[in-house]
Amino acid sequence: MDNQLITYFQDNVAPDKSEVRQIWGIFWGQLKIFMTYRTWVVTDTFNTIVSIAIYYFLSLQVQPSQIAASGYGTSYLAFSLIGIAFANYLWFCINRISHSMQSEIREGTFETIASSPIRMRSYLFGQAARGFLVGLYYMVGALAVGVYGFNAPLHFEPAALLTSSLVLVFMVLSHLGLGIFIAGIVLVYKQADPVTFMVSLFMEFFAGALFPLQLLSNYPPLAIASELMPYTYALDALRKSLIQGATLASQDILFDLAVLVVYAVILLPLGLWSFNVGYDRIRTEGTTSSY
Amino acid sequence: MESDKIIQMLQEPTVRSKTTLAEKAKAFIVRDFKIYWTYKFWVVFDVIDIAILVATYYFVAQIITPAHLVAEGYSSGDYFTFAMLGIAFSQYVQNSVHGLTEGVRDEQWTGTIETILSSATSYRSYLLGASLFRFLYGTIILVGALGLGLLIGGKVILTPSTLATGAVFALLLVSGHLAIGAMSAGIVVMIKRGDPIAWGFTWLTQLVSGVFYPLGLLPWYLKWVGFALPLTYSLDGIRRTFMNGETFFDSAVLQTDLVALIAFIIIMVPLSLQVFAWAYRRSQRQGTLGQY
Amino acid sequence: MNDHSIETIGITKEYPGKEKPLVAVDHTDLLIRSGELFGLLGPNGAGKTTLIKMLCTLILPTEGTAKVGGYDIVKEAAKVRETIGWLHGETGGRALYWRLSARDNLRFYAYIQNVPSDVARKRIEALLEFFDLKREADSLVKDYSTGMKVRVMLARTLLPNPPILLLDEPTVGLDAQTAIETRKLIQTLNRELHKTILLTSHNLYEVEKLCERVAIINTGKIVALGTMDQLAHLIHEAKTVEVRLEGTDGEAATQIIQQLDLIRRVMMSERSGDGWIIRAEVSDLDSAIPRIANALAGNFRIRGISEIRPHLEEIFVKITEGNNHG
Repeated sequence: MDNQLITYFQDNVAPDKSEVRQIWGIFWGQLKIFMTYRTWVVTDTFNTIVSIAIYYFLSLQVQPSQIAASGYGTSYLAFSLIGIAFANYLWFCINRISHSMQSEIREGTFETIASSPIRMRSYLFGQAARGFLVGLYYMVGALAVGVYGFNAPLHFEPAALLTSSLVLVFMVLSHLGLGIFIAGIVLVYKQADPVTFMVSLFMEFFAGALFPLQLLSNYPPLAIASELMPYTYALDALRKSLIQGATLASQDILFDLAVLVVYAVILLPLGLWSFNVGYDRIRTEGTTSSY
Repeated sequence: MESDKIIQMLQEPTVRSKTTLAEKAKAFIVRDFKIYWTYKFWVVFDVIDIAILVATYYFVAQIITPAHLVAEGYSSGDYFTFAMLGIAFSQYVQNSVHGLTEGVRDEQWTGTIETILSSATSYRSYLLGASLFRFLYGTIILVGALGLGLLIGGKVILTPSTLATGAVFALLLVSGHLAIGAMSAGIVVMIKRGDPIAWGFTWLTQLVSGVFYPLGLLPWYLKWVGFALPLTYSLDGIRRTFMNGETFFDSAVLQTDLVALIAFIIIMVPLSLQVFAWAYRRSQRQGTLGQY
Repeated sequence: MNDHSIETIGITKEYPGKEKPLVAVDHTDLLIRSGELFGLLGPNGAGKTTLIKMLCTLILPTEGTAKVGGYDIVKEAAKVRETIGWLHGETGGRALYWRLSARDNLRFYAYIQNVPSDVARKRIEALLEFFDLKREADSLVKDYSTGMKVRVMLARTLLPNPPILLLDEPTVGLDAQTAIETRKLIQTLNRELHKTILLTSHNLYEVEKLCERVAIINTGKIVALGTMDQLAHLIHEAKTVEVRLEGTDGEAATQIIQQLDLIRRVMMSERSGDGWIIRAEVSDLDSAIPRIANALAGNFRIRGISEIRPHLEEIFVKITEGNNHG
């Protein structure tokens, strides 16, 4: 019995150090774990549909002229649907990294990862990739319910979809650093859900997910904060493409994309750096697990 | 070893008197406060969260037409006040339902639920105790949210009689939601999953109880779902009280709301305790009480 | 290069405390040779786990450092992680993904441990077979017993075939049969595959049986180190004589023994089956046995008188107690 097992360990195998394979491994494992939470998926799907219904009934009270003034068509449902669906998507992506970090620390699996040769970077990207894929399900679902269930007037032509997909990618990249930064906070404080929730509320508020940003112009500090949010630019581009059918030919969209790229270039290294600071700190404190 | 001393102590006969309810309540509040205090900076997040929500609807109110509110009988037609009351009170009760299910879930995780339920404390006292601190804390946040709302332009009619009427509605709202909380805690004990149910319930109440819009905008079937929830009556009552200045004595609508709430509580409190007891016994039988 | 040794050089870990810093590991020097099976013992909170976690690169030392497989645990952490396999048995399987099956846990671990897929597949099947997990390999770990979880953890540790194994309580929670098999496996890994193994255990019998050398750590310091024989010599007071008598009344004999001047104290005097056993600590072993035999001769029927070698357990208790009081 022993000897049979031993034979499998006698050969010297060269390790497969591919980073892509490591990221895939994390993604694969996390997705498998997610699949076991069926109740979650069902209730989340239900919640998504209900939340769209709420915005539909809210939209019945809104004066179309007020929305028209903002330059995004006349439908408040379309306006808020995009604002909320994409904000939720972002929140999902950002929250997933820190949330699974939290449970890995709680369950002791983080130590196994941290003592293995995998790069922390691969681990974080693998976690993020899972969030992006699962989040996509809810986001596409929300848009579909809005358009086919409540007649939100959105442009689903190939050019608009292509443009908005591109914006989506850069939106995610520009916020990934933030997600990794919050994961670093989780490492040190072991809990961050309240932080990510607050961040998402800030994003929704300052990017104008539910009201036209022109309304902030009377309050200069709020207006400035709004211009500093990367989500503001992503949302502008998404609304222009999905509500008005604007494409990459539009200068406004190119400008928004450029801003997102700048944020990605600044925030991503900053996020990874701060994560490493947090990682070294818990190794100094000896708190890589907490039970 | 010091085992002699322990043995000596255990040899003294224990007088087991029933702890009074007030003492137990105090024990639970102190315990929850101490646990909460270890996360003290969360208070900041809770306050900021509700402030952002209130601010969001301050701006949403500016693009909304008052016609639907007026048609529904909220005579001022002030959407911001309408939404502020709706959000503040629905958050208040949702926090408590969430709080209870999360609390139970946490105790299942850490295994303390087995310790408590195997002690001399009944599950009724446990449920009540576990929700006390949440409600206390929720009340503070509620008052803060309403204060902020009034500061940035909410208009309410505050007289001794409207305050008294509002307080009655708030109290009934809390009692009704304690029942819902106990029921969902029972489900949590059974299926070992907290958040999805509480969230599902949150979204459903927001849809049908008229948190963001008057009920007149809902199709009849959703309106009927709303009529089964205490938040619907309480919100209507609270809004009519503070926006229109109505009281129990002069408003037939408020009287209806009051009767509906009392009926809900009479039916739901015993029923939900039954559900919890059933779920609890079931997991006892299956031996899955402390499982995660 | 074939350096699979573990060497700590003045390694120290201090945690900030309320009044003064808490020293978990205190300037410890330890050399575990390549291919050695080494035991580390200590009471709870002695610093075993902190020391091992430092070797795993999970905790950074405050002072000093260590070399694992020739790599510095601070400067070459990535290399160290490729060299070690770590098992934390005390977690009772907490450190697994409970919502994955045993097979998926191992597959996942193969990814993050850089084990090529084809090799991983073969090894996973062999490990599942060895640890008797084949039948349940595809149900979720959350439904496993503690023993099964520990077996999955053991399998996971071995999967990447690391030359150095840090086994922190590897048999905790295992049933007797699996524990025996696991001990055999640990021995085989050491003897046939020449793995360097650092083992900690609360089961002193296990350490005594498996390890060539043992170190005892207490309040962060190595208080004793050596082979079992060397350690036994360390406690000179531990000279115990056992007297076995026929008949079930040993009280009178005990009194006689007690009065002999070279008897320090009688540790035990009780009935055993149809006979009686008396154990006593003596100051001089060589003269004690004939003196006792003489004193009892005539009045009692002696079955035997012999010296008792101290168990690791006694050594351990003696050393850690002495250390705490001194």
